[in-house]
Amino acid sequence: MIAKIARRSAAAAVPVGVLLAAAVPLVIDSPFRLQVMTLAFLNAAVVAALVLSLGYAGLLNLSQGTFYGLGAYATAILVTDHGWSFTTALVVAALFAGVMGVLLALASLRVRDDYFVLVSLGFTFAIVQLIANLPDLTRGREGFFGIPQLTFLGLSFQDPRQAYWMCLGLLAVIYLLMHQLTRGFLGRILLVVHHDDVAARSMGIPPFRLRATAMFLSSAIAGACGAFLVGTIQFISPSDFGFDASFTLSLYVIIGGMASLPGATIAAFVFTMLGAEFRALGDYTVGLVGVSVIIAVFWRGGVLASMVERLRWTRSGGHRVRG
Amino acid sequence: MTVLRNRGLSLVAAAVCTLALSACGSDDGGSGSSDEVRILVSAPLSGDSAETGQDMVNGAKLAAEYLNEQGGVQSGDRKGQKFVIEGADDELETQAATTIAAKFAGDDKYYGLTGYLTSGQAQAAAVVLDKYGLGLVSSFSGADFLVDDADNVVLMLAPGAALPVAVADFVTKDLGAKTAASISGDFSFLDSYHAGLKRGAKESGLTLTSQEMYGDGASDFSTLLTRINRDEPDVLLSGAFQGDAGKIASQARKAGMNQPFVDYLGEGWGESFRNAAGSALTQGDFYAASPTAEFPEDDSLMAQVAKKFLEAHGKPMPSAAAYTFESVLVIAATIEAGASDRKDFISHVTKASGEGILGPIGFTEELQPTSRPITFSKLTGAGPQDRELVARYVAYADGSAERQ
Repeated sequence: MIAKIARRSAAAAVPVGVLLAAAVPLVIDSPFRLQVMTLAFLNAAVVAALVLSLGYAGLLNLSQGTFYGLGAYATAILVTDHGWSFTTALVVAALFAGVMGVLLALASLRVRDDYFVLVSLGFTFAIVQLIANLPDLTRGREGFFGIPQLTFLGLSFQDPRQAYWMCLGLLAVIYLLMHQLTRGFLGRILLVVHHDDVAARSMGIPPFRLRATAMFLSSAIAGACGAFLVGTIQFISPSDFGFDASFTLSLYVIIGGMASLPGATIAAFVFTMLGAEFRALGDYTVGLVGVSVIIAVFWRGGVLASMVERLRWTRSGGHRVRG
Repeated sequence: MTVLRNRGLSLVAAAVCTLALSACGSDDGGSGSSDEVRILVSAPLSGDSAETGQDMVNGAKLAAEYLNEQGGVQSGDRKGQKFVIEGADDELETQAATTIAAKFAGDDKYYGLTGYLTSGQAQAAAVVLDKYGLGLVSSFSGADFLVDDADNVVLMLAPGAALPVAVADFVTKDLGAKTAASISGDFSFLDSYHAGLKRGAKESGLTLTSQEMYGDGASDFSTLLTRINRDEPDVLLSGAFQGDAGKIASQARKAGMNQPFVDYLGEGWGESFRNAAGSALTQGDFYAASPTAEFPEDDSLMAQVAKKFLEAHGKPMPSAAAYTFESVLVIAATIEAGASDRKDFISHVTKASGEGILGPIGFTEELQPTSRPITFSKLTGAGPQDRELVARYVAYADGSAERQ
């Protein structure tokens, strides 16, 4: 009975959460709150997509922030210098980031695990340097300025409430998509590929094609989020999409659970919010994320459970206690 | 399975709590206090640039102290109100810059927003503020696009072109140079500096034998220096950040290039320049350009403020602190000019006047300072104080510079 109620409550939690979040701008009009939450939704959406490539496909991808940036830059260039509509630019930006993701996935044909991390790092550094050193195309290191006011589906990013709702909507759509993908056939066979390449091949599952698909979806969604970022803040710079950004996004997946879509999404949302709320803490906020990673790893590795068990065992005078 | 579901529920509950706590925060508009002039200073208070960021906040605090000693606001609806400074860590990131701008926009208790070390951050913040009819004072960033692309950003720095114009005049008149070569980073914000250098060279009769640029992250400049050295220029002009400039100086001297080494970026040559340059500092002459009134007269406001800064923080007042100090003076002068409401700030800033530490306060219609001092000093040793004044110029908003 309890399990049934819990299952039904969990199923209802996400739509209820989205509806509650959608009502926030009707209750508060603080530009700060709306801005922080809008950016938190985007970060959460980027991390939700990362769960597919990092958590399910097992690709130690430290380039998600860079795909976010590639989508942002593609959008900025297309709408500002070529006069494209936001909608068209959004599609092209997502495809562009997705194709770049597949290019990175090609490396997984030759290298795995630690070595893939190094390739991913090299990719991130190379792209950021490229963006920073192509001033005629990207405005260079100082950042891309002069982005016009953008609209999408009749809503204007210029209005903080409408921007909030658009980014919340994007997160909801991406979450739903990722939920369906990870709970469906793709998610299950990705886990097989993740844990045993040989077994996957023996079952007729092509590992590379699956990893490439996961990378395409993961990076294309990050690219789409980048387009929404451009609409929201109308300014981007290469330093915002470098190693630090990618690494932090990966940490959120570790904190939330490598293959836990709700965990990773909520971790990204909560930590982005906390980072803005406790800005005065400066470097300590970085420490907060670090401590959370350690706790998450200990928790998932069973270290915390073991410690609790031992504590209870000691307190009970050495008699076994049922957990 | 039940455990997993419960964990999922607890995570969603955590997110909802964060959402609720955020919504119930104290940052809603209209909660402001009207008995003080609270100024938010956006600066990098963590990370590699934390020292500069702290200098900016310290400069602003010193300005508030100076103004409050005189009784705070002197006239108008805010008469008698004291100045209060609040630092905010922008982490040198664009997104953080926008959330700080949104924090300022959403809370009436803040009258002014200043700071910002990079032009990109100031631009991103300006976009947010524009939605609410507000503006900011960019204390230490001044790329041309801030003038061209934003009409709610008050610049404290003179146009980038003015400094190299003065440098071209200085090397021609003081160092007797007929030819010069420049080396600088390939950064878009330096475009105005390069244009200024060409313009200054033309006006001064100086021949620029080459203008070499390097990419971000470069550390070996030997190829560029070899190319420069083919023409044997009379002076070597550096538009490099101080760490890079130190490496360039070191490699140039090792390559036997002992001509005068002259800075035209104006960032200041601190510890990182000296460390990177090493023993090269003892070979040939080094001249630094600074966009502040260094070596002030003893009774000047700049001298008094610099002395107080030295006493409080144990080091000479850096440009970042001086410019943020001046930003607070400009905000105060604009309130005196009738901008009691922060929404009137941008429209009244051109009416602001008074004495600043960088010269008389005054702004053009493009919200640029009408004039700024430029100081040239010669390095006389390896210590930070081992310098002597060699020339003074004044930079103007049209990008020109005049010798004093």
